[in-house]
Amino acid sequence: VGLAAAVDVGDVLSEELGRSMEVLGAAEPAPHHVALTVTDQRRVVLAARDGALWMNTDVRGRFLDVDMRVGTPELDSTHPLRGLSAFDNDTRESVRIAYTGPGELDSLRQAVWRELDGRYRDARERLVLLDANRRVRVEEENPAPDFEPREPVTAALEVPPLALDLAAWRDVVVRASELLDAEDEIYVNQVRVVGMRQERTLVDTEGADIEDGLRHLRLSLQATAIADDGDEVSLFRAVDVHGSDRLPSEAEVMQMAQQLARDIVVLRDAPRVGSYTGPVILSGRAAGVFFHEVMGHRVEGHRQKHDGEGKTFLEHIGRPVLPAWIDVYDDPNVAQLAGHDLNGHYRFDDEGVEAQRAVIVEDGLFRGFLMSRSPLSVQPHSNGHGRRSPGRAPKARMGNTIIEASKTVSEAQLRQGLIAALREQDLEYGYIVDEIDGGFTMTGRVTPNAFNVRASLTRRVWADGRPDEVVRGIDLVGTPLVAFQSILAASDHVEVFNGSCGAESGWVPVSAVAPSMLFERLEFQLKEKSSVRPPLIPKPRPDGTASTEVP
Amino acid sequence: MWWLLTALAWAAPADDEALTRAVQDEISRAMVELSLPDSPPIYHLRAKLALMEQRGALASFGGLVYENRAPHVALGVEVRVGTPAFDNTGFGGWQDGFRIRGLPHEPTERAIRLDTWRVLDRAYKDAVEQYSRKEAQAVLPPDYPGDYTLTGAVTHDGGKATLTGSDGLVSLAQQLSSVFREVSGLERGEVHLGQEAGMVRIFDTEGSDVRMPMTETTLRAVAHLRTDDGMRLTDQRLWTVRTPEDLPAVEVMEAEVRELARGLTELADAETFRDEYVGPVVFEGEAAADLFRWMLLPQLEGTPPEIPFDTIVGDISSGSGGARLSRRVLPSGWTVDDDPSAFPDHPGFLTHDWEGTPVSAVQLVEDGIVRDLLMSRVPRKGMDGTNGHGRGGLSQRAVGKSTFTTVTPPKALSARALRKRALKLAASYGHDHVMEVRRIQDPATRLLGDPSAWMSEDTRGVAPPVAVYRVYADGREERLRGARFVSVERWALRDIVAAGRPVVRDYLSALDGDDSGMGPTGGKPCRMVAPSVIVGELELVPAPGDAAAARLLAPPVLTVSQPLSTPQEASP
Repeated sequence: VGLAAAVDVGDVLSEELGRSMEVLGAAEPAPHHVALTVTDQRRVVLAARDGALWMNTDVRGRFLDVDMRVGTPELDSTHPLRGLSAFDNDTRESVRIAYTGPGELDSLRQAVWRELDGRYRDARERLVLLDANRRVRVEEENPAPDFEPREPVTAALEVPPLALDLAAWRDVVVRASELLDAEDEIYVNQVRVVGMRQERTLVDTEGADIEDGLRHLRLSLQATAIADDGDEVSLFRAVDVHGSDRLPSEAEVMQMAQQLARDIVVLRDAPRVGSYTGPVILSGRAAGVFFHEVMGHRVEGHRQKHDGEGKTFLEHIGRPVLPAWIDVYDDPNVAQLAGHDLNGHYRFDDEGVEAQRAVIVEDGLFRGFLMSRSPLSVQPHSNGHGRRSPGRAPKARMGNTIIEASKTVSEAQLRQGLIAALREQDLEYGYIVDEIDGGFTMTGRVTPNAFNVRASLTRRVWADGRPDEVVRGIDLVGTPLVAFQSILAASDHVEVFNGSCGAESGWVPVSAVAPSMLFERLEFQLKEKSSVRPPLIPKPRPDGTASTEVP
Repeated sequence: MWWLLTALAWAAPADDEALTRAVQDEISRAMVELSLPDSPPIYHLRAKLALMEQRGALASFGGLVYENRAPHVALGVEVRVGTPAFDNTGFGGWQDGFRIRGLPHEPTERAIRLDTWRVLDRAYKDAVEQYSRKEAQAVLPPDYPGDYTLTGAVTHDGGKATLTGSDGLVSLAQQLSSVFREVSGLERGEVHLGQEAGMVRIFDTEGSDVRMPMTETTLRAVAHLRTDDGMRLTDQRLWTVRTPEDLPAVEVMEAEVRELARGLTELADAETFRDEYVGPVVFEGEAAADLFRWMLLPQLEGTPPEIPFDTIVGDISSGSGGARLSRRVLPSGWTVDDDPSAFPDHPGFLTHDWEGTPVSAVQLVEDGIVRDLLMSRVPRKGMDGTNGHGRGGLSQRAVGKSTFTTVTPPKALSARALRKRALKLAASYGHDHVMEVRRIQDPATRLLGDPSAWMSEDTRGVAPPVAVYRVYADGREERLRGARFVSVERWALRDIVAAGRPVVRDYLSALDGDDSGMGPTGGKPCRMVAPSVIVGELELVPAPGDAAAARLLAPPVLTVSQPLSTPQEASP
């Protein structure tokens, strides 16, 4: 198949896009912008559970995305529909295509043809719906064009190989899992290494031609225990890196496992506490997630255009929303910070725009939004934050959300501040949130515009100096503007949270970097709890006997 | 408490016997210790341990879209509390005492023991709660047959199959799908591969221990084509065999794929079916087997449906209750039997069913009347014993299902005589032709890649035909597209007026429940041997295309595209 060897994925995309646009460009209505993206992915998973190799997979996949905009940049087929017609909003699915074989490129041509044709017909139908939708409904609150035309970008960036020593890591995850299994009170554990390498090819009708990608590896350990009251508690520890050479050593992994085993037992035996409002310290990782949920999702540009959204910060441009000593920005260009690789690092977003530092808060004043190529009247240009996972339309999303404090204290002073706040509010105790396992927020108008930061390891700090006490059963909740008014101080100790964020445009890797912070008043609510009895008979022991106590 | 903190040695994967022993030890412990106050005791516990290797792949137009090779190691448990007369099963809903747990790819005795401990604990709690739900809601008739039949221990060691020839299979899937590149304009041209080998070991607290080898290699070619008037045409070819060595020669398979593609492009040019047709319909070849598969088999499955669980969202239960014992389902003189051991070289061959019961041949229909049913160990009124036809996944209640079914008419006409008879019948309806159906769309692939169609299309009854012909007395044939059946009910089989020669049709069927939602290589291989038939009266109506779905863009030129009329010139 000589022809296949002479061209590559980018060539096929360009050829098929050009061929199709000869027809579609003359159609009525015509597309004003079409982008084709192929994402080639390799995902390696080595996972151990109960000291046995639970999963060992190495899977390739290639995905095609067609982003079709019919109409004009001012009003095109991607414009959000309102009311019941909103059910016709973009419901595309992931299109898996061939990644190798003699018919690889033929298969690609065929898929591009099928998807371009289908996407155009969907878009054309949608424009008709849109016309009626706009006629029968009032003018939108914040009208703005649907798309920002830009000068095309061309780039070709190499993505290094995964270079993961599978044989060595296979042993490491099994040993670490075995170590966790040795703890009687751990109900189940899992240790895994996941390596993912993506190569992306993007072309569009403006002439963009970008080849880039990402490489990401994660080592994670998880342990679950069941308390006597049925509460299933879990702790999760992970290290995220851009290269296998930055993964922890085996000795470090074992140390992590030992620490995890100790912590989960303490957590299992910890008292379950009730709701609370009062002073709280969030560790750097917890504070990072707090900002991700409370501020990050609310500054995603496209949310300011939807009439169903809360638009928390739209009227706050130039106005104070945080203490004057806090800056918040999102910069995907930062690859490492505070000694950690950052998950949210990328060079070009999924709309072919170079990633830029997006200033959100400067000296406590709200400055702007995370922008894709969907403009706002107050902020008409993309800052390279249009992101998605394959099968979704790009939306403005976070990358590396970084919170910086220009006025800091030591960790010890921050704790002293907590004690002082407790005494000032005449409270017996407050809390320090050491670890969180994620969070979520609701940004719409129908549901409360609230957030939930899921605390997984929280300490009770007594005002009278009694030793700190790990507790369980509470999550941090609140509403954004009030919560921000409550920040009293930040420490000089910065931590990194690496994770994945799920929203309309799919799951994207993100980071949040923040110092520990003291809040004058935050609220905890009860965390959900399993109602199932702990195991009725004891956990079997490695020697085949059963332990004497029910875990 | 810590064990072995400093002396940890990585445990090597254990052999099958050690793994089985670990499960059995935990079952023994559970039978002694697993109990809740004031709750019914466990009276029967079954475990199914699957130790399999699986390989899957998807090739499209010669390219490899997906490939995976991984162990399938899983444990299913069935915990029954109460008594065989009344237990936690046979009642709708979930969390019913049947659970499955995925096990490590490289299982150790220790890991299996832990997973067994966890899954039994949960399954027992589920069973106790489900028992109470059923006790609270179910009003049983005086002649309620009970929920289960204890049969005593069964032991059998059928060994274990190993996966062979996998690498060649992935290449084969690519090679076969590459044939679709010879055709311009296909929306979809795929070959799906599913292969597995290993064993399922079934043991229970009656002392049963049955080891069944499992080996299956399945390839399915699927093509879709959109006509200029927006009609979606679809067809498929299935090969399901025990091992790759049992597959036909590559050239034969390529020819079949080529025929599939050619058939669709010819069909695109065929006349559109525009007027309704009421009259006799000939089901020939595979279409006849499919007719019996969809319309007859549900009437022979004897497991009673679950008692509905009355929930806030309505009644929940599974099973159709369509068994027609002592009723006429076919004309006089017809017989039907099912024997899961009839074809030892077939991938669906069984010596024991999914409850560990030895299989047996069952004469289901005599003289057109149902005399026996496909039974698992779940009794029904008047039938308290299994006949070794229990099928079900690792975490499902086994129900009576078919495996190898043979439908025999009292008299078989030649193809010519059958057609002559059909034409004569059609004439009585005023037709100068009869409709003949030769292939029917397969539910597993007809809507592939078009999930929204699942919502909008009526997939019940007999699926639309792929190949339907208007056949005239002078031998002329006109192929039609865009026809579908209306209201084909089970009594259509009683309206069979003549039969022809038998055909053999292999198909894949879900282990439990209906086949909807099965993937192209999902389900277990089955076989239907049935004759071509004339159904006295059926109704066919137009199924027009969706004009809005017609393609605007010309298809791409693929590197080996050639006119179909000269496939032999196509580059490999």
